Amino acid sequence: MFYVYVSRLIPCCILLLQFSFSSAQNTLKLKYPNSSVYAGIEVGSKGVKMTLVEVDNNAKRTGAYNVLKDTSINTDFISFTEPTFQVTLKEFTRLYASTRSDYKIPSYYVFTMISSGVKMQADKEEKKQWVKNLIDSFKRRINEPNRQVTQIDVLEESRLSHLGIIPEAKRYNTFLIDIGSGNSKGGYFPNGNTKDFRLFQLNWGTKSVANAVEKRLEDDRSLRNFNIQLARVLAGAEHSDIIYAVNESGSYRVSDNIAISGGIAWAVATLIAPELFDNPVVPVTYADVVKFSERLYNDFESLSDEAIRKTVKNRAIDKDKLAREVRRIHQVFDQRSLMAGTGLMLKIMRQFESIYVSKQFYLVKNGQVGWISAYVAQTAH
Amino acid sequence: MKSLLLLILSFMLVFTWGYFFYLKIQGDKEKTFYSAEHTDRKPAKVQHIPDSAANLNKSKAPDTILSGRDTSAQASSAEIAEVNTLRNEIIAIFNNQANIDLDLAAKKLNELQLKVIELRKRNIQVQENENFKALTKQITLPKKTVNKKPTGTGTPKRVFPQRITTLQNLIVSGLQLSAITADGDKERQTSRADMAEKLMGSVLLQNRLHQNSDIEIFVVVLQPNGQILQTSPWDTGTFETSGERKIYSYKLRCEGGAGKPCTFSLVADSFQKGQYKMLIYHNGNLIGTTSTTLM
Repeated sequence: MFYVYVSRLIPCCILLLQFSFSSAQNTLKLKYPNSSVYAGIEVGSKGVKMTLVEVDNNAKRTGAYNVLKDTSINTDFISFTEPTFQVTLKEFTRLYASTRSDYKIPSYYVFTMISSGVKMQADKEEKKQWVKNLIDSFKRRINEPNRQVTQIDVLEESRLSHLGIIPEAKRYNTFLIDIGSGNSKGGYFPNGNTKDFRLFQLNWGTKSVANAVEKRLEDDRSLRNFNIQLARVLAGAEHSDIIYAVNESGSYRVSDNIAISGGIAWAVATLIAPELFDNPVVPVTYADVVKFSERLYNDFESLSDEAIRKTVKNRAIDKDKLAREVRRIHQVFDQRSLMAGTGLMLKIMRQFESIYVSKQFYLVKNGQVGWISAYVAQTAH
Repeated sequence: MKSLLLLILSFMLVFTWGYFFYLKIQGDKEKTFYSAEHTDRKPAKVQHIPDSAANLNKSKAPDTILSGRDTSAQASSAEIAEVNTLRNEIIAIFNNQANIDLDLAAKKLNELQLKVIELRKRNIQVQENENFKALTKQITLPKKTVNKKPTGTGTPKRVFPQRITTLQNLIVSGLQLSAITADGDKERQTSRADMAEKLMGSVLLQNRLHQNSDIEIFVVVLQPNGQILQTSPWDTGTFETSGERKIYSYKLRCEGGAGKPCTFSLVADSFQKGQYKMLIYHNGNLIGTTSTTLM
């Protein structure tokens, strides 16, 4: 009798375990009934990012894609030191290996890229050989000498970001600005097609504003003095760079919508509208962001994870997840960084704020995967 | 024997659950940003992050010390003097025919333009305050509620408890909410949840005083499960009402003139059975409600 029981139970247990293991590996929730999964791995200024993108195979919906997963690891490659080189190479290789082993994505469906920020910095510091060494070392480690690692320039990256972030319905009347740590860039499609792209660049970002303010503080490092010096730095940036860059882009007349992405956009969007925590995009007004910037200075405690959690009354929102996200924001940005980034954002928004014409502003939370997704989808199709 | 086999099976199930849990934790951790050099997480401090992105900006900080913009409601004489100074500087640049600095002139013109817009804005605020005082002296019309019975034998059954509300000089009427399905090239109304492809709503707004001015309204559509219907993250947002922030399904700018209904549509992959309720807000106040039921 015992052997009868065992002979019947063991296959069931084996089947159960196999099902469990296969389910564990296929944790991706696919959106389309007929689709393929691609991976894009990018070496950027701050580190290495991997994005898994599901592309709809249905011909009627060409261009439709869905971001399944994104992973970022901060390795600071553009410091161009041996330790950061080794860590970047290690993570680059590890992420590539994970696409093959964990997600079972074929090699020809994995796209590897070097972002424009790395290329620009390498050109500036004459470190192009470091980039070449990284690519060559990576190919040797994964044993694919013929693998193509594309180096994207800033124009193409901005164009792809626009394609990846902005929905098709708003494509030709939206101006996208990515506020980074060192600089800001973006642009729009002026001619009603996706090939002609007008680039916008600005040599100010969240960190560079904060650094400029820090230089002015001298002996008085109080928050009050930081706020005063911040206003001066931003006023100077507006007069010397921002007004000119926006006017020169010609975006004011053709753009009904202004979308802002970047780390500061993610932070402000989450803190300013926790009720829209599950939304990847948050519409805001200039007045909303002004009010938020005042809160940053006068009432920073109200932006803690516990305080934000208490303001949300929508039961559909996972408050624990929201609190974790707010804590993560405070780990990435301190009060002064938030003030600097928000101030820069306001100065840019101000160029589009008018009593005569209404522009709609949007803060995009997951903009970092925009251009990778669009690159993968474009190349896949 | 039976108990032994059951014990083995239980152990295997627990092991499987434990593995699932482990994978879930790993999945959550993958989204964590961590520095290769600093394994313990510390709040980001501007002076401590070993981030070379800051070196991207090599341009020196602006030398000009300019004070922040004055946000007080009334234009001070100092600001008017500033405008005049800028104007005189621009005239001086162009008067210097031997060496006209066009870049400097362009920058000063931009600055002058911004200051003029600022002053104009404040002037309009003062004007609006005076208008508001005059409006508060007027008598408001009484509120009315009208119950409209469904018409026709062929049309789907609908109940529109309409509220016609006046808010000072704003008259709201013609509230409608209906489910639409595609019938070949045409669209038609439906009362079936499984056939509905979108909800279409309309409202008639009339501003008695400023008939051509735009009126901004927020539309909140509540689903049968009580959740607010949000179709695209680019079309939803939040607004302030009764001291709290509320999510809206759609934001509209409607013309205040009579006879022009303001319409919108909300497309969704599927619709639930039950009552959909539409609430219209203006300036934080609820000005109209209606509903429709899908079967």
